[in-house]
Amino acid sequence: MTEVQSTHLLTTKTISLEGAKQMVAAAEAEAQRNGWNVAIAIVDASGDLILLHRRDETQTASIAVAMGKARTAARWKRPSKALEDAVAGGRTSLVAIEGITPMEGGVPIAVDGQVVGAIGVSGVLSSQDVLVAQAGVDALKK
Amino acid sequence: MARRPICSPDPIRTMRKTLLLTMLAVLALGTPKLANSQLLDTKVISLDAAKTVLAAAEAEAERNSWTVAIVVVDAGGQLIALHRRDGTQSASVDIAIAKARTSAMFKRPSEALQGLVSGGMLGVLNVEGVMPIQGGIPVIVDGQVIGAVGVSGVSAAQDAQVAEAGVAALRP
Repeated sequence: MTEVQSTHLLTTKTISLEGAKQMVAAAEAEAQRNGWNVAIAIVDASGDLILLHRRDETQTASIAVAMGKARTAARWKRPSKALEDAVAGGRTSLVAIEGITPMEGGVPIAVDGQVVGAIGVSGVLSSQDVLVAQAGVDALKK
Repeated sequence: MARRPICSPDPIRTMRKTLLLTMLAVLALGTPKLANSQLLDTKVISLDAAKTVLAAAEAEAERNSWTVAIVVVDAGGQLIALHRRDGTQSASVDIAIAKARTSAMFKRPSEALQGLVSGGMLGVLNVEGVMPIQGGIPVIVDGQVIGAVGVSGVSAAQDAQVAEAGVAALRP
């Protein structure tokens, strides 16, 4: 263990597995309600996976895309749609960034202005994926 | 007076019409019917079953206070579900996935490959994506791999203990 002066440290939060489970239950319910086969990924503030669920019959390509959308939302601290819009608006050079998934469907989870993780969904239309993701985020609201 | 043009007056519209007619013809003929001899019945683990595995594996990890990532993949090694317990090192995510995929690919516990490598068969390390470390267990039904479980985060033997607990939950 390293001894570190407290003034060198920032207090941060990250979403717990329990929080992720609450989110994915709500997201899955939304997907089920609409008959959508999707993969749902939840990442921590760094963009590393905490949880992933892939509904039956979901195309396997959606696994990586859901993870990418979540990672993008966490690392850019904004919905992944913002990156999709930027690329479509002419900022093509964004696709050169390693690990970026500039597609709608990733939503950051913010607590007191701090991004603690993100949820990403893929499997149906992006505009539908994001509804599933939002249902997950809404489950955390007190 | 202008001569009649050799090509159609609207080549793009003609091309679209031709394409549409071709597509309709293909659809009318129907998708090919395959003989039974050309198809195999396969089974794959469901998300619900994966959740059962995860719950049992997590309970085992909780019982021992082990921080682990637990993964369930399908027969092709593609992720079905993953849970990473709080405090688990992020490296364990990729490792757990790789152990599960290795077990599915080789139809045997990843421990078996650990033995092969330590026994001198270094060629195993050349298989793309292989993780020849204990902690991955295949789920085999009627001789067919229907999925695999992978765990990483504590010692390899402890990882395997968590994976075993998960697989045990599938038994009728």
